Amino acid sequence: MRHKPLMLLLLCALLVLLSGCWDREELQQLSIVSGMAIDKGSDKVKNRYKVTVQIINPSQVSGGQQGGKVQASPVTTFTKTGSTLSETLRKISTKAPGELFFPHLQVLVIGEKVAKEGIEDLFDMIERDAQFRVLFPVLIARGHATAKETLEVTTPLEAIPSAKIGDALKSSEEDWGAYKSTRADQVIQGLKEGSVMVTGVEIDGEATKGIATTNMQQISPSTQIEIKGMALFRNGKLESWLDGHAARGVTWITNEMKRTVMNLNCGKKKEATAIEISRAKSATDVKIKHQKPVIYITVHAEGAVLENNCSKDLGKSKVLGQLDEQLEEEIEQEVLLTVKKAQKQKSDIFNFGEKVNMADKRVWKNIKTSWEKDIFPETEVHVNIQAIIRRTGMTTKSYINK
Amino acid sequence: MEKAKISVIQLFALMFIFELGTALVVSYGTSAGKDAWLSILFAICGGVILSFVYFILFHQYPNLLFTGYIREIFGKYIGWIIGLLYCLTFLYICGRNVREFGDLLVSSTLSETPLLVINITLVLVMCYVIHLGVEVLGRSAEVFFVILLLLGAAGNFFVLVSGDVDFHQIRPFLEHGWKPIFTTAFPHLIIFPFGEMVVFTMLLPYLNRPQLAKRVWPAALISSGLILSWTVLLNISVLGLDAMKRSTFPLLKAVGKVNLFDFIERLDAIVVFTLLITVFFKASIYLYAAVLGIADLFKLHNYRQILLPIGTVVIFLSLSMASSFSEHTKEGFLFNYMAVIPLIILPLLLLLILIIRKHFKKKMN
Repeated sequence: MRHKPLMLLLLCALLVLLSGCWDREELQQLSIVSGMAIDKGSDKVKNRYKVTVQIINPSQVSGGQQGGKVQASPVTTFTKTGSTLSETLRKISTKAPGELFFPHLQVLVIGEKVAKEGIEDLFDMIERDAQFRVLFPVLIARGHATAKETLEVTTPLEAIPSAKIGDALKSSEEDWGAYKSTRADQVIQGLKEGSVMVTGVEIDGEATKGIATTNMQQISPSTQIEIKGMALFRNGKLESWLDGHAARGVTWITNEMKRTVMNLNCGKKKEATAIEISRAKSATDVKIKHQKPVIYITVHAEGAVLENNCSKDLGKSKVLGQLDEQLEEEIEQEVLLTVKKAQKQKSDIFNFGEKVNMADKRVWKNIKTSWEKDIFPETEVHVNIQAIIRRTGMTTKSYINK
Repeated sequence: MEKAKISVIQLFALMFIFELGTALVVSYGTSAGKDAWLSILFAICGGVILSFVYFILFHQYPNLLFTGYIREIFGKYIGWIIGLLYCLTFLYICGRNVREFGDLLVSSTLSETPLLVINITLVLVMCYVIHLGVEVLGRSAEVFFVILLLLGAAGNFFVLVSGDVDFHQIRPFLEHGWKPIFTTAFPHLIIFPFGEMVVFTMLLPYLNRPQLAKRVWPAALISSGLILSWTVLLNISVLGLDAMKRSTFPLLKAVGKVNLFDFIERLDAIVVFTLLITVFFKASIYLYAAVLGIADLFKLHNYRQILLPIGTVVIFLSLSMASSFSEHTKEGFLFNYMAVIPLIILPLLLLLILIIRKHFKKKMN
């Protein structure tokens, strides 16, 4: 065993060499990016993008009392212009204190101007780079404000503005159901297929006031951010916005409805009964008739009565049955409204084309090239809704007598 | 040849891990489109037929290595040259595997680390296990087989419950007819990885119960083939065909999509672990076969003498075989056509000569 010391030495050397320090990244040297905004830089191709990253200030977010220290903002943003996304992000390092770290990215906001000119070039880097995870939501900054301003609106309850946008998106999706969130991988898929929907976000109030910390000292902040509308893209360019009922139709058709509230008329009293949809399921089926595709959309919805400002006795099953029918009618109109809009825009945002392919690949091969332009707008769409109101809450008949 | 024996279960584990090898992680069978899974099933059938060819050859010379009975059948000189060519092929594929492993690590996790460093560390470990002999290789395969199954079960479970799976994405069935399915299965899928099992003809003489080779081989081939087919099916139903065709390592992407309650996420590590285990064994088996073959051809008493020099050759090969990953993939595509000769045609030729010889011997008697 005279080699023993030698072996030990070798082992120690290996321990140092094999522990893989090459790619070490020290936590304090990383700039953790929580949000990213892309705006238009200039009209020329050079410096066409203005990219803003929002970086978390860990010492401010982690909480705890810091006596005597000046309160710094919980996040900070850096902006640069450049011609490609990666170039611009690297340029930001001249301003940022450490290497930008993207795996914790929570939202990507794209300015409306860029969206109108085309977002096709923005996602290749995101898909290619191993650092990005493609599961974050993408939003379009709507109206007068730029994406940068949207990302910088301070909010009282959540210190990090991009986290606030993410949370608002989630709660709107879960409770209101009108604006479904669109993940980056879904956007990429849609860009490849031609048409895609992206959620919109808007500033309510003045953008300049929103960026100050005084904004969050008010009880009712003068500037707030709001999830609003679904942007309809065709060939990577923003075409139009879907709002309200038409936007909710998208959620119905794509089978992403979780919960929502719908108003029904009660006799002459308009919008008197509110029904909560608590469970919904939808399916799309395509059948080929005379070499032409026919689309069947089926929706199953279950709900409960939330509010009844009307004298109807909901304890009677016959009355409830009538409400079921009314609800079905209401959902059907929403779905049809959305389908008609999509057909008018000639963009197959629901990817019905793939369903045609599944139904009959030969028919699809013939109509593939002219699908969005000529065939989809003319295609028959049948909607079949089955809605059931399961319960009426803690009361049957309301105290209201009108 | 060393004095060693491996058990049937160890051989099964080695074969199973070998088959999953890199095929599990790299873009595999995508030229068959949405029917890639079916194409793999066809390739399994081809692989089973091939396994019988190899087995009959082994049955005739149960105590000889492949490089040994090649010389018996083809004659001393031609057999020697062909045997050497086989060893070189094994070395080349070994280099390919090391390269694929290194490239995956560099592009997914270790972006700053040079490829050379990753490859050297892998090859060093491979050399070490081969130095210890085939018994150690077999035993460690037995252990890692269990770990691999656990990793696979965990990965599958999380992907399936994550809700990203949409099996409708593999429809329509036979989108472009039967042709792409067969052109993908033959030769690409049947060579990689099923035909590659020819390397086990170098390991079969170590089996403690040679008569069971006939069963172990198809069993390992079919079970691993089914797993490959299932994985491809799962990749397509998670990513969709387009995203799968686009990505260099589809499985990494598919598993990376898992996000349960914002809590269980970033499971890519499972895939990297799987690849680490499988590639280590696959490349080790190739290196072992190559070293053993060369030792046999040059009549060396001990293969350990040439282990490190040949390991260096593998490192050199893995770095210099292609300047980019795209070139590497293209080379692999071309290699699949060339590999038809050593992996399918030559074994068949061997069998043919063997049969003709027997026939004549019988007549003479």
